[in-house]
Formats: sequence, structure tokens, C-alpha cells
Amino acid sequence: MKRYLTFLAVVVVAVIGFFGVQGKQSKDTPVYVFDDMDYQSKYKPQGENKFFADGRDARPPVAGTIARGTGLEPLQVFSADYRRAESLNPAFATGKDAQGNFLADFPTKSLNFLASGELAPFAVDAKTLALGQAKYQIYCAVCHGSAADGNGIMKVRSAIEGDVAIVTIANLQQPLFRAYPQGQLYDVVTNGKNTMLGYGDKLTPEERWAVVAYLRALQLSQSCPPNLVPAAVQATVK
Amino acid sequence: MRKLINFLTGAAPRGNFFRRSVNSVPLQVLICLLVTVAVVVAGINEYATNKYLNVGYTPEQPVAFDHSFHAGPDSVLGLDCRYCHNGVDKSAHSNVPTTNTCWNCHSQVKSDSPALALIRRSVETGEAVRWVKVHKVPDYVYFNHAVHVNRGISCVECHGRVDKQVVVGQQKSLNMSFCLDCHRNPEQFLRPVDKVTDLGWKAESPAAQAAQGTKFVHDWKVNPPQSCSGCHR
Repeated sequence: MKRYLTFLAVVVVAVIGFFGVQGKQSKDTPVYVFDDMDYQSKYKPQGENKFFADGRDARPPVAGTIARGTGLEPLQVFSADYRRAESLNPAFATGKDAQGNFLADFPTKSLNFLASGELAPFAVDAKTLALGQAKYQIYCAVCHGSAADGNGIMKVRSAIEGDVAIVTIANLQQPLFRAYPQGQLYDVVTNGKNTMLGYGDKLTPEERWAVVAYLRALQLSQSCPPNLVPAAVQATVK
Repeated sequence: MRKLINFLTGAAPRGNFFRRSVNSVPLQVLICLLVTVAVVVAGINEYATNKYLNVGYTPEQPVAFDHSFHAGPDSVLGLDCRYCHNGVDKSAHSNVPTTNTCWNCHSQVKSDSPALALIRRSVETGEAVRWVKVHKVPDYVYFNHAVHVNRGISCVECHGRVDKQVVVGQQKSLNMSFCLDCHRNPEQFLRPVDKVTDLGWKAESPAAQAAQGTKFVHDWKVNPPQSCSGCHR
């Protein structure tokens, strides 16, 4: 018995020495003892696919493809009377009117359908501004700064690293950008401008309009006429 | 042990086929069996689950992206998780960022860095950067990022403090009991939606967490499925 227990203890020590304990860092792909159906041959988002030359599961649309809709329901997209919201309200999706000029004001109809089939109204209200603030803080403040003065962390870092971003990041409080029509700001958010790349792939049209609205609020905040400041705040300002 | 037994029982009387010490053999066999079973069970418990097989998986990525520098309010840059993983609150899949996303900044900051060679090549040719997936669940598990993130489940609950990691590795087991721990007691994990990407955030006390968690469960009608078809289909 003594001999057996000694042998067992040696085995335990050897196993722990070889396999380590839980949570050990390793670069090796995890071992699957019973991988049963863990790996199925199906397409996955951003998955790898050796069949296609570019190695991707996701296939780009064939050249010349006409967008039929952004809906996910095949029945809806392929029905004969399906109308794409963007085609009903192109100004909301592009920021331009029928003549190709930038919209001077915010659109009044969104891309969302009401139950009646009409487009839902779009309004710059507290909810829109809150959405715009959340998205601005994530995507825009990195460069343009929380006060839209162009002093985001990117400018700070490029000052340290000696990079060009210190001169290319726009101060959105400048008169030039205050004079932009709403549609032009929307266009810049969507497609970018000069060294800025577009954010159309990250933000929905609704979110982009909300960001424009919030930017207007930021511009107002830096040049606010005294009579618009609430009395309670005025007392604290000297 | 034999000496002890001999001492207690006296010398073996002549005439018996088996020595007296043989009496203890069944006991010894039983002890050995029990110890062996205990060791095997402990070994399976330690090594045969995700806690050993997957936790700690820290693959080398093609581009050495440092989360602790870029991401989270405590980092140097302070980027929100969603700046890059922008699909996380809109889609079941939380996307690995496109090369464009890197290039939003790096076209102008450190754009000549040798560390970004693969990113530059991807920008020029459209070739994919082959990031290595770290957090995997089996293909029969359908986890939806958006419904969790939009209902106050933080990234940190499944991914750990990614904002403190130089190289991302798996920190939680992500096995089924891990999911069910939360699905059975959501009030211990729910947080205000605007704190979801603030990975260091914690309620002031466990009692405060329970109080606000219970409130969120009620207000948002949180009813996490515990049936098979909730996650498997």
C-alpha cells in the first residue's frame, strides 16, 4: 500500500508539473477532447473560408448590384411592393436634396416606417441629442475633443509623437464649420473630408443626424448669448 | 502498519493458511481505491473543463495591438470599446474592426511604424488582417452581443479586464454553468447602460448592486432564458 500511494503521489506531482494549473497562459490553440459539434461547417460573421481566394466568409456584392433594401426579412425584401426607405426619403440618407444641394435644415422624416406604412417623423429633441452625445463621445471626441474645439486625445498624442494630426484635426468651433449647412456636416460624418475617413459604416443615418444636432449644441455652448443661460447658472458665472 | 497490527493481535498462530496480517488487505485495497478515485475526480475537475483548457488562451496576433494603451477610460487614449467594436450594440456578432478603423487615426499618427506593416498592406490591397479569435463558444451556442450590452451587461463580465491586457487572453471559462450563473441571478450583474464599457466600474457595495440590479430587472423586464432553446437551436 505504501508503495502504491508513493507511486500515486509521484504521478500527481508529475501531472501538475507537466500540465500546470488552471488559468495558465498559453499561446497554443485550446485542446478539444470531445469536439462533437463545436466546429460546424457553416458561414460565420467575419469567418475564415479557404474556398474563396480572399479567405473570407463574407462576400462583397457583385459589381453593379443595386441595393434592394437593408431589411433582414427575405419576404419583405423580395416582395413585389417592397419600397426601400432610402428611396422614399433619399435626403435623410444622403443629406442632399433632389438637386444635389446640401440640406439647410434637419430632415423632418426618418427612415423608420410607422405601422401605417408612412415614414416616421424625425425631430431634434432631447432623445436625439442624448443619442448624438453618446455617439459623439465615442466616435468624434477622439479627435475633435469633447467641446468640438479640435483638442481631442489625438491632437495631444500627435504633439507628443510629432505627427501631422496636430495640424489636420479641425476645430469645429471655427466660423467656417458653423456656417456649414446641416446636410454638409451630415455628409462629412458619412463620407469624411480631407484626412478624415467616413463614419457611414459605423453610424446609422439616424445616429449621424443626431451627431450633427449634438455638434450644433456644442457650438452653441461655446458662444452662448447670456440671455439663454439659465438664471441659476448665471449666478455662478463671473 | 503490519508491525502495528502484529503488535495488537499477537504473532500469527501456527496452523492458519493465511497470515493474520492478511486480514487488513481488504481495508488497504479499499483505501487505495478511494484515494485513486479522489485523485482521478480531482484531476478531471482540474483539467477536463474549459477552466483549464480555454482560460489563459493568449494567442499571438498578427498585429501587436495593445488594448491597455488604446481602450478604456483608464488607458492613455481612453477610447470607448465601441469605437472599434462598433457592431456590438447593433448585432449578435461583435465585430473585429475593419482596417479602415485603424486607419482613421493611424493614417496620421505613427503611420510609418513597422508594427503597422500588415495594416498598411491591408489598406493598400484590401487583404484581410488575419486576427486570431480568442473567445470561442461552440457553434451550437448562439450568443447575442447586442441584447446583453443594451441591457446593462458589461463587456467585463465575459471578457475580463481587457483594458488592462497588453495581449488579449481568455479570462473566463465561458462554459454553460458560467452563462447560467448570470442567467439565474441577473440582478448581481446588471449595471447602468452607460457604464457598460467602463470595465472598472463597480457598484459601491454588494447591497447597492443588489438593490439597483433588482430595479433594473423589474424596469427592463429582464427575464434571461434558462431553457435549452434560449441559446441552442
